[in-house]
Amino acid sequence: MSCGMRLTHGSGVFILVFLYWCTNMDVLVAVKQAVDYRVKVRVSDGDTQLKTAHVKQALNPFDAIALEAAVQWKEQGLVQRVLVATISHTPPTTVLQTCLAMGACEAFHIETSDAQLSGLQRAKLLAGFVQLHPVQLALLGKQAIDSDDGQTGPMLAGLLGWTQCIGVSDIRLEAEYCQAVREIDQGLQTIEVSLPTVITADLRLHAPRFPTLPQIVAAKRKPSHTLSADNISMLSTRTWQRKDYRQRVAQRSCTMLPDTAALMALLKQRGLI
Amino acid sequence: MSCVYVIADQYMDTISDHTLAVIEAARSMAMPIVLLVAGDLSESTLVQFQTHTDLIKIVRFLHPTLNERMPEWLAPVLCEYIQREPGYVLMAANTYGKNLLPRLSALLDLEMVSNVCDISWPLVSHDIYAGNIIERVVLGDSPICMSIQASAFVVPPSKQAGHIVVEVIDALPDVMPDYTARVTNIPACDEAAPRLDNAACVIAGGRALGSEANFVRLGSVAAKIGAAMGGTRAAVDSGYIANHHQIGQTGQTIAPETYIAFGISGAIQHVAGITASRTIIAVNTDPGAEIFQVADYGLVGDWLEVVTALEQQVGK
Repeated sequence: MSCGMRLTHGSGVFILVFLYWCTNMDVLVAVKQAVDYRVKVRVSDGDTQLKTAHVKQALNPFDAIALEAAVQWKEQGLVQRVLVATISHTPPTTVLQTCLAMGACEAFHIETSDAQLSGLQRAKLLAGFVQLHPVQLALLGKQAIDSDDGQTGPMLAGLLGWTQCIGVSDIRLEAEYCQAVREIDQGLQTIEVSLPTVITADLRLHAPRFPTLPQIVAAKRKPSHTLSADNISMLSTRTWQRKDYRQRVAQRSCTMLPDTAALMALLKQRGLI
Repeated sequence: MSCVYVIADQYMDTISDHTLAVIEAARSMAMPIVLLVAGDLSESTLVQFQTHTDLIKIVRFLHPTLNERMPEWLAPVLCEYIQREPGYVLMAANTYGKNLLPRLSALLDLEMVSNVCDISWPLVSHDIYAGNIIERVVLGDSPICMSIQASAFVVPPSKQAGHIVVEVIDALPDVMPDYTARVTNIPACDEAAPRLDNAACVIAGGRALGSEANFVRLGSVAAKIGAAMGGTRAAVDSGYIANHHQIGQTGQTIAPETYIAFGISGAIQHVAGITASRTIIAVNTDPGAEIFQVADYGLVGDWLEVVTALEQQVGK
Protein backbone atom coordinates (compact mmCIF):
# COMPACT_ATOMS: atom_id res chain seq x y z
CA MET A 1 0.00 0.00 0.00
CA SER A 2 2.66 2.48 1.04
CA CYS A 3 4.78 1.34 -1.85
CA GLY A 4 1.89 1.98 -4.25
CA MET A 5 1.37 5.45 -2.78
CA ARG A 6 5.01 6.29 -3.16
CA LEU A 7 4.88 5.25 -6.79
CA THR A 8 1.77 7.36 -7.43
CA HIS A 9 3.36 10.25 -5.63
CA GLY A 10 6.54 9.80 -7.65
CA SER A 11 4.81 9.74 -11.03
CA GLY A 12 2.73 12.78 -10.00
CA VAL A 13 5.93 14.70 -9.37
CA PHE A 14 7.27 13.48 -12.69
CA ILE A 15 4.15 14.71 -14.54
CA LEU A 16 4.37 18.08 -12.78
CA VAL A 17 8.03 18.40 -13.68
CA PHE A 18 7.19 17.40 -17.25
CA LEU A 19 4.40 20.00 -17.48
CA TYR A 20 6.69 22.64 -15.97
CA TRP A 21 9.35 21.74 -18.47
CA CYS A 22 6.89 21.80 -21.38
CA THR A 23 5.46 25.20 -20.63
CA ASN A 24 8.81 26.77 -19.88
CA MET A 25 10.82 25.70 -22.86
CA ASP A 26 11.66 28.52 -25.24
CA VAL A 27 12.99 28.02 -28.73
CA LEU A 28 15.24 30.19 -30.86
CA VAL A 29 14.77 30.05 -34.62
CA ALA A 30 17.66 31.76 -36.41
CA VAL A 31 16.69 32.96 -39.87
CA LYS A 32 18.40 34.66 -42.79
CA GLN A 33 17.18 36.86 -45.59
CA ALA A 34 18.47 35.57 -48.91
CA VAL A 35 17.94 36.18 -52.60
CA ASP A 36 14.74 34.43 -53.70
CA TYR A 37 15.49 30.88 -54.84
CA ARG A 38 13.97 31.53 -58.29
CA VAL A 39 16.46 34.30 -59.09
CA LYS A 40 19.63 33.45 -60.98
CA VAL A 41 22.28 35.64 -59.36
CA ARG A 42 24.75 37.40 -61.67
CA VAL A 43 28.23 38.85 -61.19
CA SER A 44 28.82 42.52 -62.01
CA ASP A 45 31.30 45.40 -61.61
CA GLY A 46 34.45 43.70 -62.78
CA ASP A 47 33.70 40.47 -60.91
CA THR A 48 33.82 42.10 -57.47
CA GLN A 49 30.08 42.39 -56.79
CA LEU A 50 26.97 40.27 -57.03
CA LYS A 51 23.86 41.84 -58.53
CA THR A 52 21.66 41.53 -55.48
CA ALA A 53 20.63 45.18 -54.98
CA HIS A 54 17.25 45.22 -56.71
CA VAL A 55 16.66 41.49 -56.65
CA LYS A 56 13.74 39.93 -54.76
CA GLN A 57 14.77 38.93 -51.23
CA ALA A 58 12.96 36.35 -49.17
CA LEU A 59 13.15 34.24 -46.05
CA ASN A 60 15.68 31.46 -46.69
CA PRO A 61 13.41 28.47 -47.56
CA PHE A 62 15.18 26.09 -45.14
CA ASP A 63 14.71 28.58 -42.29
CA ALA A 64 10.97 28.76 -43.05
CA ILE A 65 10.84 24.99 -42.56
CA ALA A 66 12.71 25.28 -39.23
CA LEU A 67 10.27 27.96 -38.08
CA GLU A 68 7.32 25.79 -39.08
CA ALA A 69 8.66 23.00 -36.83
CA ALA A 70 8.98 25.39 -33.87
CA VAL A 71 5.51 26.87 -34.39
CA GLN A 72 3.94 23.41 -34.57
CA TRP A 73 5.57 22.49 -31.24
CA LYS A 74 4.18 25.68 -29.75
CA GLU A 75 0.70 24.80 -31.04
CA GLN A 76 1.06 21.32 -29.53
CA GLY A 77 2.02 22.85 -26.17
CA LEU A 78 5.51 21.32 -26.26
CA VAL A 79 7.24 24.69 -26.17
CA GLN A 80 6.23 28.00 -24.71
CA ARG A 81 7.73 30.78 -26.78
CA VAL A 82 9.26 30.89 -30.23
CA LEU A 83 11.91 33.62 -30.54
CA VAL A 84 13.19 34.47 -33.99
CA ALA A 85 16.48 36.23 -34.68
CA THR A 86 18.24 37.41 -37.79
CA ILE A 87 21.72 38.88 -38.23
CA SER A 88 22.16 41.61 -40.83
CA HIS A 89 23.87 44.86 -41.65
CA THR A 90 20.78 46.51 -43.17
CA PRO A 91 17.32 46.26 -41.56
CA PRO A 92 15.65 42.98 -42.55
CA THR A 93 12.75 44.42 -44.51
CA THR A 94 10.04 41.81 -44.33
CA VAL A 95 11.69 38.65 -43.08
CA LEU A 96 11.02 39.13 -39.37
CA GLN A 97 7.44 40.26 -40.05
CA THR A 98 6.92 37.10 -42.11
CA CYS A 99 8.21 35.01 -39.20
CA LEU A 100 5.93 36.76 -36.70
CA ALA A 101 2.96 36.24 -39.05
CA MET A 102 3.86 32.54 -39.30
CA GLY A 103 3.59 32.23 -35.51
CA ALA A 104 6.83 33.40 -33.88
CA CYS A 105 6.23 35.29 -30.60
CA GLU A 106 9.06 37.82 -30.56
CA ALA A 107 11.61 38.97 -33.13
CA PHE A 108 15.19 40.20 -32.80
CA HIS A 109 17.29 41.95 -35.41
CA ILE A 110 20.97 41.63 -34.53
CA GLU A 111 22.52 44.61 -36.28
CA THR A 112 26.12 44.33 -37.46
CA SER A 113 28.51 46.96 -38.75
CA ASP A 114 30.06 44.50 -41.21
CA ALA A 115 27.93 43.61 -44.24
CA GLN A 116 29.63 40.27 -44.83
CA LEU A 117 29.98 37.98 -41.84
CA SER A 118 31.56 34.55 -41.90
CA GLY A 119 29.75 31.47 -40.62
CA LEU A 120 31.86 31.48 -37.44
CA GLN A 121 31.07 35.14 -36.74
CA ARG A 122 27.34 34.45 -37.19
CA ALA A 123 27.51 31.41 -34.92
CA LYS A 124 29.32 33.45 -32.24
CA LEU A 125 26.61 36.12 -32.35
CA LEU A 126 23.87 33.49 -32.02
CA ALA A 127 25.74 31.81 -29.15
CA GLY A 128 25.98 35.22 -27.46
CA PHE A 129 22.25 35.75 -28.03
CA VAL A 130 21.46 32.42 -26.34
CA GLN A 131 23.44 33.56 -23.28
CA LEU A 132 21.22 36.67 -23.08
CA HIS A 133 17.94 34.88 -23.90
CA PRO A 134 18.21 31.32 -22.57
CA VAL A 135 16.50 28.74 -24.77
CA GLN A 136 16.62 24.94 -24.73
CA LEU A 137 16.42 24.48 -28.47
CA ALA A 138 17.85 26.36 -31.44
CA LEU A 139 16.44 25.67 -34.88
CA LEU A 140 17.87 26.77 -38.23
CA GLY A 141 17.64 25.78 -41.86
CA LYS A 142 20.30 23.24 -42.81
CA GLN A 143 21.86 25.81 -45.15
CA ALA A 144 21.20 29.30 -46.50
CA ILE A 145 20.71 29.25 -50.25
CA ASP A 146 23.17 32.11 -50.81
CA SER A 147 26.33 31.00 -49.00
CA ASP A 148 25.15 27.36 -49.22
CA ASP A 149 27.65 26.30 -46.56
CA GLY A 150 25.57 24.86 -43.70
CA GLN A 151 28.12 26.14 -41.16
CA THR A 152 26.05 28.11 -38.68
CA GLY A 153 24.05 25.25 -37.09
CA PRO A 154 26.85 22.84 -36.19
CA MET A 155 29.16 25.74 -35.24
CA LEU A 156 26.51 27.09 -32.85
CA ALA A 157 26.15 23.63 -31.29
CA GLY A 158 29.92 23.41 -30.85
CA LEU A 159 30.20 26.87 -29.28
CA LEU A 160 27.34 26.18 -26.85
CA GLY A 161 28.50 22.65 -26.05
CA TRP A 162 25.09 21.34 -27.12
CA THR A 163 24.22 18.23 -29.11
CA GLN A 164 23.21 18.63 -32.75
CA CYS A 165 20.68 17.21 -35.22
CA ILE A 166 21.85 18.33 -38.68
CA GLY A 167 19.74 18.01 -41.82
CA VAL A 168 16.69 16.38 -40.25
CA SER A 169 13.58 15.26 -42.12
CA ASP A 170 11.71 14.03 -39.04
CA ILE A 171 12.01 14.82 -35.35
CA ARG A 172 10.31 13.76 -32.13
CA LEU A 173 10.69 15.95 -29.06
CA GLU A 174 10.61 14.34 -25.61
CA ALA A 175 11.17 15.77 -22.14
CA GLU A 176 14.90 15.08 -21.88
CA TYR A 177 15.95 14.23 -25.40
CA CYS A 178 14.92 14.26 -29.02
CA GLN A 179 14.98 11.61 -31.69
CA ALA A 180 15.82 12.85 -35.18
CA VAL A 181 15.96 11.29 -38.62
CA ARG A 182 18.84 12.75 -40.63
CA GLU A 183 19.11 12.67 -44.40
CA ILE A 184 22.64 11.43 -45.11
CA ASP A 185 24.27 10.32 -48.36
CA GLN A 186 23.66 6.66 -47.53
CA GLY A 187 19.97 7.04 -46.63
CA LEU A 188 18.15 7.88 -43.41
CA GLN A 189 20.03 7.81 -40.09
CA THR A 190 18.18 7.98 -36.77
CA ILE A 191 19.91 9.60 -33.80
CA GLU A 192 18.95 10.26 -30.22
CA VAL A 193 20.48 13.23 -28.41
CA SER A 194 19.95 14.93 -25.06
CA LEU A 195 18.64 18.49 -24.77
CA PRO A 196 19.61 21.26 -25.19
CA THR A 197 20.25 20.74 -28.87
CA VAL A 198 20.63 22.54 -32.20
CA ILE A 199 18.37 21.28 -34.99
CA THR A 200 18.80 22.14 -38.67
CA ALA A 201 15.89 21.47 -41.04
CA ASP A 202 16.09 19.61 -44.33
CA LEU A 203 13.51 20.12 -47.06
CA ARG A 204 11.23 17.25 -46.13
CA LEU A 205 10.76 18.13 -42.45
CA HIS A 206 7.67 20.31 -43.03
CA ALA A 207 5.91 22.40 -45.64
CA PRO A 208 5.94 25.95 -44.24
CA ARG A 209 2.54 27.64 -43.88
CA PHE A 210 1.43 30.77 -45.70
CA PRO A 211 0.29 33.39 -43.16
CA THR A 212 -3.28 34.65 -43.49
CA LEU A 213 -4.08 38.36 -43.75
CA PRO A 214 -5.27 38.61 -40.10
CA GLN A 215 -2.01 36.92 -39.02
CA ILE A 216 0.02 39.42 -41.06
CA VAL A 217 -1.88 42.30 -39.42
CA ALA A 218 -1.51 40.79 -35.92
CA ALA A 219 2.24 40.35 -36.50
CA LYS A 220 2.69 44.12 -36.51
CA ARG A 221 1.63 44.21 -32.85
CA LYS A 222 4.09 41.52 -31.74
CA PRO A 223 7.31 42.65 -29.99
CA SER A 224 10.25 43.26 -32.30
CA HIS A 225 13.68 44.44 -31.14
CA THR A 226 16.95 45.59 -32.60
CA LEU A 227 20.16 44.64 -30.81
CA SER A 228 23.65 45.82 -31.61
CA ALA A 229 26.03 42.99 -32.38
CA ASP A 230 28.70 44.81 -30.37
CA ASN A 231 26.65 44.24 -27.22
CA ILE A 232 26.37 40.51 -27.84
CA SER A 233 29.72 39.07 -28.73
CA MET A 234 33.22 40.23 -29.51
CA LEU A 235 33.96 39.11 -33.03
CA SER A 236 37.41 38.12 -34.15
CA THR A 237 38.44 39.44 -37.55
CA ARG A 238 37.95 37.19 -40.54
CA THR A 239 41.11 35.37 -41.52
CA TRP A 240 40.43 35.40 -45.26
CA GLN A 241 39.67 38.11 -47.81
CA ARG A 242 37.30 37.95 -50.77
CA LYS A 243 39.09 38.47 -54.09
CA ASP A 244 36.31 38.23 -56.65
CA TYR A 245 33.38 36.25 -58.01
CA ARG A 246 33.15 34.15 -61.14
CA GLN A 247 30.00 33.10 -62.92
CA ARG A 248 30.04 29.36 -63.43
CA VAL A 249 29.55 28.56 -67.06
CA ALA A 250 27.38 25.48 -67.06
CA GLN A 251 26.28 25.95 -70.66
CA ARG A 252 27.47 23.46 -73.23
CA SER A 253 26.82 23.30 -76.94
CA CYS A 254 24.16 20.65 -77.23
CA THR A 255 24.08 18.29 -80.22
CA MET A 256 20.43 17.40 -80.77
CA LEU A 257 19.85 13.79 -81.75
CA PRO A 258 17.17 13.08 -84.38
CA ASP A 259 15.61 9.98 -82.80
CA THR A 260 15.87 7.20 -80.22
CA ALA A 261 17.95 5.08 -82.62
CA ALA A 262 20.59 7.81 -82.74
CA LEU A 263 20.71 7.87 -78.93
CA MET A 264 21.12 4.07 -78.84
CA ALA A 265 23.99 4.39 -81.33
CA LEU A 266 25.63 7.02 -79.11
CA LEU A 267 25.33 4.83 -76.01
CA LYS A 268 26.78 1.86 -77.94
CA GLN A 269 29.65 3.98 -79.17
CA ARG A 270 30.37 4.95 -75.54
CA GLY A 271 30.37 1.29 -74.52
CA LEU A 272 27.37 1.58 -72.24
CA ILE A 273 25.16 -0.94 -74.06
CA MET B 1 55.42 25.52 -41.12
CA SER B 2 51.82 24.49 -40.66
CA CYS B 3 50.56 21.11 -41.64
CA VAL B 4 47.29 19.96 -43.19
CA TYR B 5 45.04 17.55 -41.36
CA VAL B 6 42.79 15.49 -43.63
CA ILE B 7 39.93 13.86 -41.74
CA ALA B 8 39.15 10.55 -43.47
CA ASP B 9 35.72 10.28 -45.06
CA GLN B 10 34.27 7.22 -43.37
CA TYR B 11 31.05 5.26 -43.38
CA MET B 12 30.59 2.06 -41.37
CA ASP B 13 33.92 0.22 -41.46
CA THR B 14 35.35 1.72 -44.64
CA ILE B 15 37.24 4.83 -45.69
CA SER B 16 35.69 6.22 -48.89
CA ASP B 17 37.57 7.21 -52.04
CA HIS B 18 36.60 10.82 -51.37
CA THR B 19 39.47 10.79 -48.88
CA LEU B 20 41.93 10.39 -51.79
CA ALA B 21 40.42 13.45 -53.51
CA VAL B 22 40.71 15.49 -50.30
CA ILE B 23 44.38 14.43 -49.97
CA GLU B 24 44.86 15.57 -53.58
CA ALA B 25 43.36 18.95 -52.64
CA ALA B 26 45.64 19.14 -49.60
CA ARG B 27 48.68 18.35 -51.77
CA SER B 28 48.22 21.64 -53.66
CA MET B 29 48.89 23.46 -50.37
CA ALA B 30 52.49 22.14 -50.27
CA MET B 31 52.52 21.31 -46.56
CA PRO B 32 52.94 18.01 -44.71
CA ILE B 33 49.66 16.04 -44.73
CA VAL B 34 48.42 14.05 -41.71
CA LEU B 35 45.44 11.70 -42.12
CA LEU B 36 43.08 11.42 -39.13
CA VAL B 37 40.99 8.25 -38.93
CA ALA B 38 38.28 7.64 -36.31
CA GLY B 39 36.89 4.50 -34.75
CA ASP B 40 36.84 0.85 -35.78
CA LEU B 41 37.30 -0.04 -39.40
CA SER B 42 38.31 -2.96 -41.56
CA GLU B 43 42.10 -3.08 -41.78
CA SER B 44 41.96 -3.63 -45.56
CA THR B 45 40.44 -0.19 -46.09
CA LEU B 46 43.49 1.39 -44.43
CA VAL B 47 46.07 -0.34 -46.62
CA GLN B 48 46.06 2.08 -49.57
CA PHE B 49 46.69 4.94 -47.15
CA GLN B 50 49.52 3.22 -45.26
CA THR B 51 51.61 3.39 -48.44
CA HIS B 52 50.27 6.72 -49.78
CA THR B 53 53.14 8.89 -51.05
CA ASP B 54 51.57 12.20 -50.01
CA LEU B 55 51.05 11.44 -46.31
CA ILE B 56 53.58 11.85 -43.54
CA LYS B 57 51.50 10.25 -40.80
CA ILE B 58 48.23 8.49 -40.05
CA VAL B 59 46.60 9.01 -36.65
CA ARG B 60 43.93 6.54 -35.51
CA PHE B 61 41.53 7.49 -32.73
CA LEU B 62 40.33 4.20 -31.36
CA HIS B 63 38.19 4.82 -28.27
CA PRO B 64 34.89 2.86 -28.55
CA THR B 65 32.92 6.13 -28.02
CA LEU B 66 34.03 7.17 -31.49
CA ASN B 67 32.74 4.11 -33.36
CA GLU B 68 29.42 5.77 -34.23
CA ARG B 69 31.34 8.84 -35.44
CA MET B 70 28.98 11.31 -33.80
CA PRO B 71 30.34 14.87 -34.08
CA GLU B 72 29.50 15.47 -30.39
CA TRP B 73 32.32 13.04 -29.47
CA LEU B 74 34.61 13.30 -32.49
CA ALA B 75 34.92 17.09 -32.48
CA PRO B 76 36.38 17.46 -28.94
CA VAL B 77 38.76 14.51 -29.48
CA LEU B 78 40.05 15.82 -32.83
CA CYS B 79 40.17 19.36 -31.43
CA GLU B 80 42.44 18.34 -28.58
CA TYR B 81 44.82 16.57 -30.95
CA ILE B 82 44.94 19.35 -33.58
CA GLN B 83 45.49 22.06 -30.96
CA ARG B 84 48.82 20.44 -30.01
CA GLU B 85 50.14 21.51 -33.41
CA PRO B 86 47.59 23.79 -35.13
CA GLY B 87 47.11 23.44 -38.88
CA TYR B 88 44.60 23.49 -41.70
CA VAL B 89 41.77 20.95 -41.49
CA LEU B 90 40.19 19.45 -44.61
CA MET B 91 37.22 17.11 -45.07
CA ALA B 92 34.98 16.03 -47.93
CA ALA B 93 31.95 18.31 -48.42
CA ASN B 94 29.37 15.55 -48.03
CA THR B 95 26.88 14.86 -45.24
CA TYR B 96 29.60 13.39 -42.97
CA GLY B 97 31.84 16.44 -43.41
CA LYS B 98 28.95 18.89 -43.13
CA ASN B 99 27.98 17.34 -39.80
CA LEU B 100 31.46 17.29 -38.26
CA LEU B 101 33.74 19.96 -39.73
CA PRO B 102 31.81 23.16 -38.80
CA ARG B 103 31.50 21.91 -35.20
CA LEU B 104 35.21 21.14 -35.09
CA SER B 105 36.11 24.51 -36.62
CA ALA B 106 34.06 26.29 -33.91
CA LEU B 107 35.89 24.33 -31.19
CA LEU B 108 39.23 25.20 -32.79
CA ASP B 109 38.08 28.82 -33.24
CA LEU B 110 39.03 28.63 -36.92
CA GLU B 111 37.14 30.16 -39.82
CA MET B 112 35.79 27.77 -42.44
CA VAL B 113 35.41 27.89 -46.23
CA SER B 114 32.89 25.39 -47.61
CA ASN B 115 32.49 23.56 -50.93
CA VAL B 116 36.01 24.26 -52.18
CA CYS B 117 36.42 23.41 -55.88
CA ASP B 118 39.96 24.69 -56.56
CA ILE B 119 43.07 25.57 -54.57
CA SER B 120 45.82 27.71 -56.14
CA TRP B 121 47.52 28.54 -52.88
CA PRO B 122 46.74 30.95 -51.24
CA LEU B 123 43.77 31.52 -53.58
CA VAL B 124 40.82 29.25 -52.85
CA SER B 125 37.70 28.95 -55.06
CA HIS B 126 34.44 27.70 -53.63
CA ASP B 127 30.84 27.38 -54.77
CA ILE B 128 28.01 29.60 -53.54
CA TYR B 129 24.46 30.12 -54.87
CA ALA B 130 23.92 26.48 -55.82
CA GLY B 131 27.22 26.39 -57.68
CA ASN B 132 26.05 29.22 -59.92
CA ILE B 133 28.72 31.55 -58.58
CA ILE B 134 32.30 30.75 -57.64
CA GLU B 135 33.69 32.98 -54.89
CA ARG B 136 37.47 33.31 -54.79
CA VAL B 137 39.05 34.10 -51.44
CA VAL B 138 42.64 34.78 -50.41
CA LEU B 139 43.66 33.04 -47.21
CA GLY B 140 45.66 34.81 -44.53
CA ASP B 141 48.43 33.46 -42.35
CA SER B 142 46.29 31.63 -39.85
CA PRO B 143 44.94 28.16 -40.65
CA ILE B 144 41.30 27.55 -41.57
CA CYS B 145 39.00 24.57 -42.11
CA MET B 146 37.89 23.70 -45.64
CA SER B 147 35.27 21.29 -46.92
CA ILE B 148 36.32 19.92 -50.29
CA GLN B 149 34.14 18.98 -53.26
CA ALA B 150 35.66 15.59 -53.94
CA SER B 151 34.38 15.55 -57.54
CA ALA B 152 36.46 18.65 -58.37
CA PHE B 153 39.83 17.03 -57.58
CA VAL B 154 41.07 14.31 -59.91
CA VAL B 155 43.07 11.59 -58.17
CA PRO B 156 46.17 10.42 -60.10
CA PRO B 157 46.31 6.65 -60.59
CA SER B 158 49.28 5.47 -58.53
CA LYS B 159 50.15 6.95 -55.18
CA GLN B 160 51.76 3.96 -53.52
CA ALA B 161 55.35 4.00 -52.35
CA GLY B 162 56.63 4.27 -48.79
CA HIS B 163 55.33 3.09 -45.49
CA ILE B 164 53.51 5.61 -43.32
CA VAL B 165 53.85 5.87 -39.55
CA VAL B 166 50.58 5.07 -37.76
CA GLU B 167 50.01 6.71 -34.38
CA VAL B 168 47.24 5.25 -32.22
CA ILE B 169 45.32 7.33 -29.69
CA ASP B 170 42.98 5.24 -27.62
CA ALA B 171 42.27 7.57 -24.71
CA LEU B 172 39.69 10.36 -24.59
CA PRO B 173 40.55 13.88 -23.43
CA ASP B 174 40.36 14.27 -19.62
CA VAL B 175 37.24 16.38 -19.78
CA MET B 176 34.47 15.17 -22.06
CA PRO B 177 30.98 16.72 -22.34
CA ASP B 178 28.17 15.19 -20.28
CA TYR B 179 25.49 15.12 -22.97
CA THR B 180 24.24 11.94 -24.60
CA ALA B 181 24.36 11.48 -28.36
CA ARG B 182 24.01 8.16 -30.14
CA VAL B 183 22.93 6.57 -33.39
CA THR B 184 19.85 4.36 -33.00
CA ASN B 185 19.29 3.29 -36.59
CA ILE B 186 21.48 3.28 -39.68
CA PRO B 187 20.40 3.12 -43.32
CA ALA B 188 20.19 -0.29 -44.92
CA CYS B 189 22.79 0.03 -47.65
CA ASP B 190 22.93 -2.03 -50.83
CA GLU B 191 26.69 -2.54 -50.96
CA ALA B 192 26.62 -4.07 -54.44
CA ALA B 193 24.67 -1.29 -56.17
CA PRO B 194 26.72 1.35 -57.99
CA ARG B 195 26.93 4.54 -55.92
CA LEU B 196 26.09 8.03 -57.12
CA ASP B 197 29.38 9.48 -55.97
CA ASN B 198 31.68 7.07 -57.82
CA ALA B 199 29.75 5.36 -60.64
CA ALA B 200 31.07 5.87 -64.19
CA CYS B 201 27.52 6.34 -65.42
CA VAL B 202 24.53 7.88 -63.64
CA ILE B 203 20.95 7.69 -64.89
CA ALA B 204 18.46 10.08 -63.28
CA GLY B 205 14.77 10.83 -63.55
CA GLY B 206 12.57 13.80 -62.78
CA ARG B 207 8.99 14.13 -61.60
CA ALA B 208 7.90 13.69 -65.24
CA LEU B 209 8.45 9.94 -64.83
CA GLY B 210 5.23 10.02 -62.85
CA SER B 211 5.48 7.04 -60.49
CA GLU B 212 7.68 4.97 -58.21
CA ALA B 213 7.08 1.99 -60.53
CA ASN B 214 8.62 3.91 -63.42
CA PHE B 215 11.69 4.70 -61.31
CA VAL B 216 11.99 1.01 -60.47
CA ARG B 217 11.78 0.25 -64.19
CA LEU B 218 14.46 2.84 -65.03
CA GLY B 219 16.50 1.55 -62.08
CA SER B 220 16.57 -2.00 -63.43
CA VAL B 221 17.85 -0.74 -66.78
CA ALA B 222 20.49 1.29 -64.90
CA ALA B 223 21.54 -1.80 -62.95
CA LYS B 224 21.95 -3.77 -66.22
CA ILE B 225 24.44 -1.26 -67.60
CA GLY B 226 26.22 -0.71 -64.27
CA ALA B 227 24.87 2.80 -63.78
CA ALA B 228 23.91 4.41 -60.46
CA MET B 229 20.37 5.70 -60.16
CA GLY B 230 19.55 9.31 -59.22
CA GLY B 231 16.60 11.65 -59.03
CA THR B 232 15.67 15.29 -58.71
CA ARG B 233 14.39 16.87 -55.52
CA ALA B 234 10.87 16.91 -57.03
CA ALA B 235 11.06 13.17 -57.70
CA VAL B 236 12.26 12.49 -54.15
CA ASP B 237 9.59 14.76 -52.66
CA SER B 238 6.96 12.91 -54.68
CA GLY B 239 8.12 9.66 -53.09
CA TYR B 240 9.27 8.12 -56.38
CA ILE B 241 12.81 7.46 -55.14
CA ALA B 242 14.62 7.51 -51.76
CA ASN B 243 16.30 10.67 -50.49
CA HIS B 244 19.86 9.42 -50.79
CA HIS B 245 19.46 9.28 -54.57
CA GLN B 246 18.87 13.03 -54.76
CA ILE B 247 21.27 14.98 -56.99
CA GLY B 248 21.69 18.75 -56.71
CA GLN B 249 22.17 21.67 -54.35
CA THR B 250 20.62 19.89 -51.40
CA GLY B 251 21.52 16.37 -52.48
CA GLN B 252 24.74 14.95 -53.86
CA THR B 253 27.21 16.40 -56.33
CA ILE B 254 28.25 13.90 -58.98
CA ALA B 255 31.00 13.72 -61.60
CA PRO B 256 30.44 10.60 -63.72
CA GLU B 257 31.80 9.97 -67.23
CA THR B 258 28.23 9.89 -68.53
CA TYR B 259 25.12 11.41 -67.00
CA ILE B 260 21.74 10.66 -68.60
CA ALA B 261 18.74 12.78 -67.54
CA PHE B 262 15.21 11.56 -68.23
CA GLY B 263 12.30 13.99 -67.89
CA ILE B 264 14.43 16.54 -65.98
CA SER B 265 13.69 20.21 -66.70
CA GLY B 266 17.09 21.52 -65.56
CA ALA B 267 16.35 23.74 -62.56
CA ILE B 268 19.55 25.44 -61.31
CA GLN B 269 19.28 23.54 -58.02
CA HIS B 270 19.58 20.23 -59.92
CA VAL B 271 22.16 21.46 -62.43
CA ALA B 272 24.35 22.44 -59.44
CA GLY B 273 24.95 18.74 -58.81
CA ILE B 274 25.76 17.62 -62.37
CA THR B 275 28.04 20.26 -63.93
CA ALA B 276 31.19 18.26 -63.22
CA SER B 277 29.89 15.35 -65.34
CA ARG B 278 32.10 14.60 -68.37
CA THR B 279 29.22 14.09 -70.82
CA ILE B 280 25.60 15.04 -70.18
CA ILE B 281 22.81 13.45 -72.22
CA ALA B 282 19.26 14.77 -71.78
CA VAL B 283 15.91 13.33 -72.87
CA ASN B 284 12.89 15.60 -72.49
CA THR B 285 9.61 16.12 -74.35
CA ASP B 286 9.95 19.90 -74.05
CA PRO B 287 12.41 21.29 -76.64
CA GLY B 288 12.70 24.48 -74.54
CA ALA B 289 13.73 22.61 -71.35
CA GLU B 290 16.73 24.27 -69.68
CA ILE B 291 18.48 20.93 -69.30
CA PHE B 292 19.38 21.08 -73.02
CA GLN B 293 21.43 24.23 -72.38
CA VAL B 294 23.78 22.34 -70.08
CA ALA B 295 23.79 19.06 -72.03
CA ASP B 296 26.23 17.75 -74.63
CA TYR B 297 23.60 15.62 -76.36
CA GLY B 298 19.84 16.11 -76.36
CA LEU B 299 16.86 14.15 -77.57
CA VAL B 300 13.41 15.70 -77.69
CA GLY B 301 11.24 12.72 -76.92
CA ASP B 302 9.43 10.61 -74.37
CA TRP B 303 11.58 8.90 -71.73
CA LEU B 304 9.36 5.81 -72.05
CA GLU B 305 10.28 5.30 -75.68
CA VAL B 306 13.99 5.50 -74.87
CA VAL B 307 13.71 3.17 -71.89
CA THR B 308 11.75 0.66 -73.99
CA ALA B 309 14.53 0.78 -76.59
CA LEU B 310 17.15 0.37 -73.83
CA GLU B 311 15.29 -2.64 -72.45
CA GLN B 312 15.37 -4.22 -75.90
CA GLN B 313 19.14 -3.68 -76.01
CA VAL B 314 20.02 -5.01 -72.57
CA GLY B 315 17.08 -7.34 -71.86
CA LYS B 316 14.40 -6.70 -69.28
